[in-house]
Amino acid sequence: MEFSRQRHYRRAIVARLFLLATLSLLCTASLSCESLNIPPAPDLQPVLNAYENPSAVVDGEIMGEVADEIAKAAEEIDDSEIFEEILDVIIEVQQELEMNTNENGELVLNGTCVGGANEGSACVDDSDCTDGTDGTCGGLTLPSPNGGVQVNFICDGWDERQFDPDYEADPDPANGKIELTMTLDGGGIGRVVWGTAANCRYLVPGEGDTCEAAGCFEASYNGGVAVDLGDTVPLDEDITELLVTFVVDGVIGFDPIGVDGSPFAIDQSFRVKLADTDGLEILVDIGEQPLEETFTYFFRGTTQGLRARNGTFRCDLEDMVCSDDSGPVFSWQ
Amino acid sequence: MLRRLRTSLLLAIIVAGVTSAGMGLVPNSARAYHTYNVRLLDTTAYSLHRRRVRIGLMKLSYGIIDQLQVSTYTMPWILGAIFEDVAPNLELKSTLYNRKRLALSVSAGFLEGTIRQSDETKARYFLIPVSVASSVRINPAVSTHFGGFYTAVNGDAEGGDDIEGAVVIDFLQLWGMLEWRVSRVVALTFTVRWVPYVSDVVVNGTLDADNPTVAVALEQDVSELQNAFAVIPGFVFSWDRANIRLGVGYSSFFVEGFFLVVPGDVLSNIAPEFDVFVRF
Repeated sequence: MEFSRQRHYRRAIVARLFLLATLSLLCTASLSCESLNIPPAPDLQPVLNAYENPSAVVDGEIMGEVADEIAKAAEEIDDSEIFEEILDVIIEVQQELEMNTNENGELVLNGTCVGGANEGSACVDDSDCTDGTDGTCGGLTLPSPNGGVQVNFICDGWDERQFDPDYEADPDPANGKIELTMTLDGGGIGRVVWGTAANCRYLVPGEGDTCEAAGCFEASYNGGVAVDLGDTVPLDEDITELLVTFVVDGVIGFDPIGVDGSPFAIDQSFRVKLADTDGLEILVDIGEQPLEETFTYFFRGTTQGLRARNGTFRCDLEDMVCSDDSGPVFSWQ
Repeated sequence: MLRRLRTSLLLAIIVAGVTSAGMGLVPNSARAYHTYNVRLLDTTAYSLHRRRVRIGLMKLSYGIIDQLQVSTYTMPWILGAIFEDVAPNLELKSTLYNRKRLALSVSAGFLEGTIRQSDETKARYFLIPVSVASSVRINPAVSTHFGGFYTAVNGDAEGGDDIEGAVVIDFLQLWGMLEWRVSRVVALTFTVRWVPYVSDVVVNGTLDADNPTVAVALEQDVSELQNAFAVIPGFVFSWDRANIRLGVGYSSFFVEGFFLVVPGDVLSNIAPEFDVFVRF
């Protein structure tokens, strides 16, 4: 009787231990309910609203206070071409994603041509492989994927040989890096891209695309960056044609020959279209609180001006005057 | 051709079932096969008694003690052997409570395997299925069984320098089964399976790029699997030692041993259920 009871207890203990182990396993299993580990995107909507609805009433007194800052910021942004450096990385990722997308619009991860001559991402491009004549296309196929993309770009540095088509250099971490986070929304690139640049060094050609004609300037950027592309960008859309809003908070280094190239701290939003090199719109924030009172100052070729709550004016920073169709409206000293 | 084959198979299963049921209704020997002590093991809260063995086409089980059974599914081993890498799997099931009319059980296990895509590329998968089940004996002939299955799937791929990636998906499966012991040999079963929850597939991987390097973490919508269901009428024939489980139903196919669900449209909404096993 006693033996039977002991055996019963032993079995009961074993059964309960098993229950405990099962529950532990369930907890472990639950931990595998992995969600996407994407840092939250910065909220650029207030900035976009500030562009759409300038809230400041601008007059000569205000322009007198901010004109120099506007001129300096515009010059640094324009000269350093930091926006181009960032957008080039985004465009490269867009191209990489497009290369890994098959004819059905499905993203193929780790695509490998099995049994064929082509390997790697070329698999999804190569009709021989996808048709199966040279092999089959392996990899994980994801129709309309959503998620995040982490981009790590080693900057090109200041070696002018980088423009030589035959020159192949390994990425050098000493040149700094740009780390960006992008989202994928139904296969397209989500409108907000954000990240940081860590002492990213790059060359800005004085003229054209190489240093040959007019030499190059050594530029660098260290700081945060957030980009709004306007909308979700399909992989085949030309990003250079998009009006892109930037928010940068960092230090631009630019070393033009013969000019004092001391680093320039910038905490600024601006808009630019890469295909339109003469276009730039700067958000000017004059309120005590961020984005409390804003207006924008734009450069379009030889024309410049500002958009404020009290209207849109043609302006000239050198002549220190803003006008409308009827003539000068306000000026500053 | 394939449709005709499926139709023929379906007809054969129905005919075999009805015929066998008829045979079972005829009073035979006094030896009891579906008995109070010998219960259905699959989709129920019951487990093998101590030192009892089940050897089947789909599953091998052994009763360690009265409340604890260890099993392994055969298909992952067999299919794994055919495709080069066997898939070890083990399941422990414990009937924690079995008094009066009610039985309760929990089970947990794992399945691990590898799929080779090419000489250089292989994908590994690891499944953790955890389940709870209850069985209620309404009367000596009729029982009901309810339970839930939670399966966590982890997978990763590796191969050449450019290849790496990982996949995660979890899903919950609920089931209910009505068992009617028509005779000592024949039991009719009516099983309903339902997937009320499927997590999005989370895929981590890289794109084949040097500079910039591009790592992706993607969510793939698999909501088509959510609310997948199967309604399966079937039979379990039980003789002295031999047993046959046979059923064919509608909609999705719940793959035994792999703990996965094949959407209905893949198999023309035919949900089969089959096993042959001996118990001793």
